[in-house]
Amino acid sequence: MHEMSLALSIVEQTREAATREGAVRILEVEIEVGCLAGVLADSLQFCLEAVGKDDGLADTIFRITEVGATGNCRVCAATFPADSFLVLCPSCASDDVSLNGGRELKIRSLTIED
Amino acid sequence: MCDSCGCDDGSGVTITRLVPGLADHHHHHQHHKFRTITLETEVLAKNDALAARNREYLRRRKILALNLVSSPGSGKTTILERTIRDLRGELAMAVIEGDQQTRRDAERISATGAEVVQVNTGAGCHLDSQMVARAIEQLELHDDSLLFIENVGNLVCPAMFDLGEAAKVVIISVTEGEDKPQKYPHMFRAATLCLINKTDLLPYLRFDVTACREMAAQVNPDLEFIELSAVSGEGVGRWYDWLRQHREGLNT
Ligand SMILES: Nc1nc2c(ncn2[C@@H]2O[C@H](COP(=O)(O)OP(=O)(O)OP(=O)(O)O)[C@@H](O)[C@H]2O)c(=O)[nH]1
Ligand SMILES: [Mg+2]
Ligand SMILES: [Zn+2]
Ligand SMILES: [Zn+2]
Ligand SMILES: [Zn+2]
Repeated sequence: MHEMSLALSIVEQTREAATREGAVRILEVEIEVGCLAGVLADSLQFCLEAVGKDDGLADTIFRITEVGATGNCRVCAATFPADSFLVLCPSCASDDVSLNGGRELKIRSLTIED
Repeated sequence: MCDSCGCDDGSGVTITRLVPGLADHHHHHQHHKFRTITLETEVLAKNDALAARNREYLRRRKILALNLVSSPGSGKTTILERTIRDLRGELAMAVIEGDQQTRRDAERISATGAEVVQVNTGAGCHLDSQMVARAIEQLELHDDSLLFIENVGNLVCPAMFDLGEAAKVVIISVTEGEDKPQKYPHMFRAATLCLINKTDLLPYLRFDVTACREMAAQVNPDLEFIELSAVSGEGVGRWYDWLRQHREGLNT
């Protein structure tokens, strides 16, 4: 359950940023999760809500955005969306595909009340 | 009374629950200003920063640190016991043992005479860079040595947590099924070397080593493989050569 450690880390970093900004309340936290980051968005959502509740952020909205990856075929140069490490090129069926993006795991932004 | 925070600037009682750790609620009543601040911080930034410090420390001392990852019971500790007994005249070796509970693995390593620290993660299912930094402080490490970090038996999250190692070594035993690399692609993708252990059992099983390698190569074309048995000793020489070569690689 690494989603739990990630949730703890997100809440901790959110809190630090909010304190730095002099916020009185955190309304929303926007999180970006790549489809190849090894994180289950549903599970992370569940953990964030559980950790948030225990940590005075029961009303904070944790909004997770999933971002995709792009495959580039090294044989025919086709570019296509990819959502796993095991992809075949849709044009030529080669498995010689390089993957870009999809590893994101970031806190994008906070909406706070001053 | 304000709907969003329950504060009241009229008569009567105000009960304000302060969010722990946050600044006081100021009551200049142009009230409730919301703003969005862009952070773009990596969730694992703290772990990664401390891992980078571990890596730099180990690099300066020319210590080859390897993060050993696998499902429970693939033979990590047995491989380490054998490696230490076979190479101890040649190389200094130390071990960080990660398990949720017990000191059993550290006791097994200690019996070989090697330096060892046990990290018990409790409910945690992986080691992180801070645990490793603390363990390193407690170990008496030699320059030009090997540091084995036996992670918690788990093929999922140890893939995400950089410890500051030079490489991840993933161990799969032939009793596990050859499709593990495709079921747990993150780990096989993150690893540099794959040890296929318990080859002494191959005659009794239907494990297809070639198929296993092919499936692993699909998720990580650069993955190296060594087949071995920690019990019979078959193939361990190639593992030792790999260790020597990568340790010496730090000298240049
Ligand atoms: N036949 C055979 N058995 C092995 C071999 N290597 C390990 N074993 C056995 O596999 C079992 C698990 O080995 P360990 O070394 O404790 O495995 P581990 O990966 O350290 O286990 P955890 O730390 O609990 O995840 C033990 O009973 C070992 O004796 C091998 O090469 N061949
Ligand atoms: Mg063990
Ligand atoms: Zn193609
Ligand atoms: Zn108010
Ligand atoms: Zn974990």
